[in-house]
Amino acid sequence: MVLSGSAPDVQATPDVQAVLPHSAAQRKPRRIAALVLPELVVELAWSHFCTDTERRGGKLVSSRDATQPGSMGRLPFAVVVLEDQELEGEVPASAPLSAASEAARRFGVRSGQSITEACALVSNLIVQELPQPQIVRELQRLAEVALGFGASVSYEAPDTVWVDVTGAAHLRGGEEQLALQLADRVRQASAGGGGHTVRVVIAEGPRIAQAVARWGRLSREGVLVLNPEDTKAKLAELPVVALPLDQERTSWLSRLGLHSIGAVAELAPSVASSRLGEHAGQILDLCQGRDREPLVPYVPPELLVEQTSWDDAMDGLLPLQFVARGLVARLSSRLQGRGEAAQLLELAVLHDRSIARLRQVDPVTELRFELAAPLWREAELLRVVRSRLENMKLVAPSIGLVLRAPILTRAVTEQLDLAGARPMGKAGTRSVHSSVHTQGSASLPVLLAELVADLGGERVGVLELVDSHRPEERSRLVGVRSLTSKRKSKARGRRAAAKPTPVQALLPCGNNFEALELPTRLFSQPIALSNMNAAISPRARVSRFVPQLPSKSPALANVRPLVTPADRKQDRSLGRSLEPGSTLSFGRRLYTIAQARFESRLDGVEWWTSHPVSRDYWRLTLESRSEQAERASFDALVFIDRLTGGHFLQGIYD
Amino acid sequence: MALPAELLAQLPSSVFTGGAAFPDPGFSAQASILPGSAEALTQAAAGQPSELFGRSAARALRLGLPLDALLPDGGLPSGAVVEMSVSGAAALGTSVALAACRAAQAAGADTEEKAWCAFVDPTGSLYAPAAARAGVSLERLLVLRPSLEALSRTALRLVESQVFPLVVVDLAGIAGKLLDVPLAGWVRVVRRLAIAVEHTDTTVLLITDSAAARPLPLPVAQRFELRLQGELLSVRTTKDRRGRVMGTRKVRASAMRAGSSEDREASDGSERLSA
Repeated sequence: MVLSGSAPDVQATPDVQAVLPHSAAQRKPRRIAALVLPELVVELAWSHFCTDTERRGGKLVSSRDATQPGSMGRLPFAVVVLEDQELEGEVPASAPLSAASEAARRFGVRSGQSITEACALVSNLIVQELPQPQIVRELQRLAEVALGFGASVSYEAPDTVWVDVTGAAHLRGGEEQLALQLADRVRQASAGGGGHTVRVVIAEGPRIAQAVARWGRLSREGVLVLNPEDTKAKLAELPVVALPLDQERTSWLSRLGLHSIGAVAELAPSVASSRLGEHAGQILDLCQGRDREPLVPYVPPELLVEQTSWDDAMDGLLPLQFVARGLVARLSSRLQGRGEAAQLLELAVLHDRSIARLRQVDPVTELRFELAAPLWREAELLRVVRSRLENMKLVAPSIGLVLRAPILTRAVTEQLDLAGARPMGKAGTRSVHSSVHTQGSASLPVLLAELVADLGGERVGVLELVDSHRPEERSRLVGVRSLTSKRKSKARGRRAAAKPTPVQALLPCGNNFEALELPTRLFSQPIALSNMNAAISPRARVSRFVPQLPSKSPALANVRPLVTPADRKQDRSLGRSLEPGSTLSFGRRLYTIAQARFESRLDGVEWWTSHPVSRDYWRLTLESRSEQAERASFDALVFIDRLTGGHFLQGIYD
Repeated sequence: MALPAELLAQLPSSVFTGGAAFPDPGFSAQASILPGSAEALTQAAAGQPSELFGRSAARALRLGLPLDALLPDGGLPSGAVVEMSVSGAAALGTSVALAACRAAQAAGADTEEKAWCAFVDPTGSLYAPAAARAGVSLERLLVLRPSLEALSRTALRLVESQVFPLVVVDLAGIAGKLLDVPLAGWVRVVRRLAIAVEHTDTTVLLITDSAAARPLPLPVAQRFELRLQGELLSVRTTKDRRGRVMGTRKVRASAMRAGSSEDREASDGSERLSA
C-alpha cells in the first residue's frame, strides 16, 4: 500500500491514521498555562525590607501588628519600582508608587499615586525601592522552576510566567492536577520563603490565559482549566482593562459604555478596528476567544548562578549559613525544574574589601565542592555546603554570597526497588546486613560529598593498586568517582599484573615473590632511621648477605652480579648495623632488633631518572618494652639505600 | 573490681557459672562453656555461634580467624562499639581490622554488590596490596585520612549515616607514626557512637594504644587487648557486654597475619584454631 503524504486523499483506517501526518482538524489545540503573581512586586520588596531590617539588628514588627514574624500583616507597605538601579536611595517624593500591599490599599493607597500623596493618606506607610532587574530575575527563576511541567516557558514582567503544557497534562494526572502542582511548586520556590500568591489558568492561548488569571474568577485553590468551548463566554465576563490596550483606549471604551470584553466583541469589526490601534485584529480575535500569539520560549542560562549581597558587613557563620540555605533552596528549585543535577558547586564568600585589605587577605573566599554523584535535592545540597561552612573561619566580615553550579548533568531519578526492601531476617544472618545497608547505601553519594567538602578530596577515597617497582608507589588513594569510570581497564591491568612473568617469579635472591608477606602499613615517605650502635657509611655495600643468582635461569643469563668479590671485602659495618641486639630509634621510641632476615632487592629501578632506586629490603623483628617492663615485638620492613647507605623504615607488618 | 589474669586462670570453672549477683534471664545453669575452652573451639570449628554463659551469641561479625573463638560473642558484636587495644606499637591490629572488613563485605554478598566498609586512617599508611591480599575488596573500602581535629566528627558522620556495616577508626597509629589522640575527649564521642549503632547491625572497631593515657575507660561494649610476643599473639578480653574480664589466651601470630597462607585458607571457609 502506498501511503500518500496528504491525509485527505487517503481513506485512512485506524492503523493508517496513526502513521499519516495529522491534518489541521486532527492537530491538538495548544494548552498554555499562565501563572500570574499579582503580589510579586510587593512580596519581593517586602523580603528585601525584612532582610535589611534583620541585618541591621532592628526588630521588624511587634506581635500585635503581625500574625507571623516577618509577615506584612497590618503594616501598610508600598513599592516604587526603579528602572535604573543607580537611582536606589535617591528617589524623589514625587515618584509614583508601583504597587501597594492590601493593608495600604484599605487606606486608599493606589499604584500611580505619588509618595507624598500616599503618605498623606497613611502616616506610617513604609515605602521600599525595588530595581526592575530584580523582578525580571525572579520571573526568570520562576520560569526555570516551571520548566519541569512543560516543553517551553516564557515570561512577561511584572507578573506573568507561561508554560506550554500541550500534551503534558497526562503525566501529572490531568490538567487540573497539573495546575495545582504547578501553583504549589511556584509557591514553595519563593525567594523570601514566605510563599508567592499565585493564580494559574490553562487555556488555548497565552493572552487568554493571562487575562483570565488576572481578572477572572478562579477556584478556591486559585486555579482554573478553561475548555475551548467555554473560552469566549469566560472572556466576555472580563473587564476591558484585561485587553492588551493602553490606558487611553481603555478609558475611551469605558466612556462609550463598553465595560466588558463581551461588549467589545459585539461591535462590528469595521467599527472597532479603526479605533483599537495597530493590534486591532489581534484584540478582536481575542474578544472572540481566538489567540494565535506564539509563545517565545525563554532559554535558561547554561551557568546557574544564585547570588545575594547586603550593605552591612556580617561577622559570624550563623547568618552566612542562613543566607546560604536560601541560595541552595533557589538553586535546587531551578535544577529540579530543568531536570538537571550539579556535579560541582562553587561558593564564593565576598568580604568587605576595606577590612580584607587591612588584614591583608583575599577579598573573596572560594569554596569548591566536588560531588561524588550528581545532586539536585535541596536537603542533600545543603548538607554538603553546610559541612564546609560549619568549620570555616571567616577571614573578614562578609558582604555577599555567590553560589554557582558550573558543571551540570541530567538528573537521573531511580525507581523505587521493592525487591531491595526485604523484611528483617534473623539477627546475625546475612539478610539483615544486606537489607539495612542497601537502603543506607543510597545516601552514600551525599555522605561522600559531605566528607569531601569537609576533609578535602585528597583525604577521601578508595585505595588503588598501581603497577610500580617502588613499594611506596604501589598504593594510592583515588576518589570514588574516578575509580568507577576506570574500573574495567584497571581490573584488566590488575589481572595481568597478578600473574607473574617467569622473570618476576624468582627474585635474584631466590625468593618467590608471591610467598613474600606484605606489610599492612607502608609509609609513602620512608622514615629515616638512626642506629644507636653504628654510624651510617655513605658508600656502603651489603657484604655478608649478597644473594647468589640462580645459575641456570635463561632469563637471567645476561644479568651480571651486582656486587663483586672485591666489594665484599669493603666496609662490613653496614651489615653489622642490622645485627640482632642493635638499637634503632624512630618515632620518639627505641627498639631493639631481635631478628633480621633479608627480604628482597631492588636494583636499577628507574635508572633513566635523576633518582634511581637501589635498595636492599630487610625484615626486622623489633622489640620494645612498656613502662610495666612487658615485652612486645613486631615486624618492620626496613631498607638500606645502596646508593646513599641510609637506613629507612618502609612499613610495618601489623 | 576485676581480678588479675593470673588469679582468674587459677580459679575453678565452676566459679564462672552461675552469673554472680545479676542472674541473666536467658542464663542456664547447664551451660558452662568458657571462652577458649575445648567446647567453644569445637563449636566455632563447626560454624556454630558459641554459647557462653547460657546465651547464644547470634549477632556477631565473625572474622574467620582463630580470634573468633577467643571473643565472648564469637566475633565482633553487631550494634556495638568495640575497642581493640594494641600493645607495643603494632600487634596485628591492622590484620584483624582487615579481616573484619573482609567479613563485613562478604556479609553483604547476598545483594548484587558487596557492602561498603569505612576505614579511618589518619596516618595514611594503609597499604593497598596487603589489603587486597587479605581478601578485602578495595572498591568497597572507603578510606579516610582526616586530620586529628577532624577525627571525631568524621567518625560520627560515618557511623550516623548508617551506610556501613563496619567502621574502623584508628586512634593508635603505627610504629613510626604514632597518633597523639587524647582519649579523655573520646568518652563522649564513643557514647554518641554507641547510641548511633544501637539497634543496628553496624560495628564500630576502635584501634587504641594500650599505653595511651585514659582518665576514664571508654564506654565500649567490648574491649580486648592484643600483645605480640615473637610468634605468639596474646589476646585478653578485658570487658564484654556484661563487664566481665577473661583470662589471657594465646594464638599463633602466623594464622592471624593478613594475607598469610593460613589466613587465606581460613577466609576460604576452613578455620584453623590454636590449641
